Amino acid sequence: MPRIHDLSVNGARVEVDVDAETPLLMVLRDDLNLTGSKIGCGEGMCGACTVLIDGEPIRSCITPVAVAAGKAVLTIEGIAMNGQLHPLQQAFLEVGAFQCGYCTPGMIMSGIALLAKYREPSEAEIIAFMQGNICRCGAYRRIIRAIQQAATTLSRAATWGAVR
Amino acid sequence: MSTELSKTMGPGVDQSGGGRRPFWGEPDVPEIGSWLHLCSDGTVEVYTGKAEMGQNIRTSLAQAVAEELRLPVASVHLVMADTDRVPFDQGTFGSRTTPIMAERLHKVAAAARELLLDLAAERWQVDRTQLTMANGKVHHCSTGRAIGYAELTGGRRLTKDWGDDAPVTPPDQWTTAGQSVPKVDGQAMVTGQHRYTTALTRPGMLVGKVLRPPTFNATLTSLDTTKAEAIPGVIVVHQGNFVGVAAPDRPTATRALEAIQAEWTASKQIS
Repeated sequence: MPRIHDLSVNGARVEVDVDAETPLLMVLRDDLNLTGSKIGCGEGMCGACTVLIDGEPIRSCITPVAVAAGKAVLTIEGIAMNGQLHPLQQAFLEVGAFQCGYCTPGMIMSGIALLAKYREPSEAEIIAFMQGNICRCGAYRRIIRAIQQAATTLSRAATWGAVR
Repeated sequence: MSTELSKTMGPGVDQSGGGRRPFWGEPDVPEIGSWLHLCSDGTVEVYTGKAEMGQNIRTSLAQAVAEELRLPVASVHLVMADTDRVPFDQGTFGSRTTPIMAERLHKVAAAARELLLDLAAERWQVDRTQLTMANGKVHHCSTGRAIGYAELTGGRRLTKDWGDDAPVTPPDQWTTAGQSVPKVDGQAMVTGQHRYTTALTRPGMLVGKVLRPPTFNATLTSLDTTKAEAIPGVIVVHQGNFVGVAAPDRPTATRALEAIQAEWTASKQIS
């Protein structure tokens, strides 16, 4: 079977040696020790494993690592800049948009993709875009608030354009 | 309540009141030092058999102790369900942590607070009613003196017993407990650094994987595990139609599983 030998993850080139069909999530967690992206349902339904490939949110538990080859993978570990939290991370903290926190990395990665698409997302747009991310603790109202708060922060700070 | 359930819960659900209430049939642990320690760096370590599993008791129990010891929540660190270090606990279930463990820690911490006041009054030879506590220190207002908790205790284990009559802070006076506070570990959760069970490793831990047959109720007809067993650290388990591997880590277990050659005969499928 074909194998994948290098990837670009969070702006760095990393060497791996994995079967091309291995789910990206397992490569991130097992081979690269990036355990921020979570194993939830394992079948692409819950969104806990969401990462960005060239800016697009994907379910890394059902995405073969080969899909990420030659592209830029961004995970929850790679979105803070110079020790400063991404505005959406900061907003999740300030709003308290999570209880157990297990869905949070996936929520934030989907949220970042959302904020790249909508500068001022309406509640309806947020709900539609975030449909694929499930929070069993039920923090949805606060998640919506956190995304709105981050949208406001981002509209004021152009410096975060790089990660958007 | 059924007799069986009553037996399991023991006298802990006794609602008759009076005396120190039994603790869910668990042995009473009377010593303050079994439950908390005042560390020399000004923090408090708290020991509880309750486990954090997303319900945020690491935060709410820290609030209970912080309230009684007049400390910021960030100064309270919980050691949870580490059975070498915490008092015996039947488990974390039935929504009992807040009514039972939070109440207990309020009492233990309030008893520790009283002890600290006694120690300070003795050390300074003053009336303890002139003493106040704030931010990890006991203060004597009229002389402006202040002393840290661990300095008072000399870092020693608190061997005094807590009592069921410990003067806990009435809820209507709470400023930390019962309030909305930033989550302990919140920063780790939004950065992906928080370790959940699936990310934990232990010394010598093996990861198991099962070789799944292609169909329901398939029969294993031939098996060659030579290549899998040649991988360092891999153990192959085979019993009847069950084949599995154990390996030092997940990628190795995956490789070992891939290296197994198996043939199966499908039985008649249900649908």
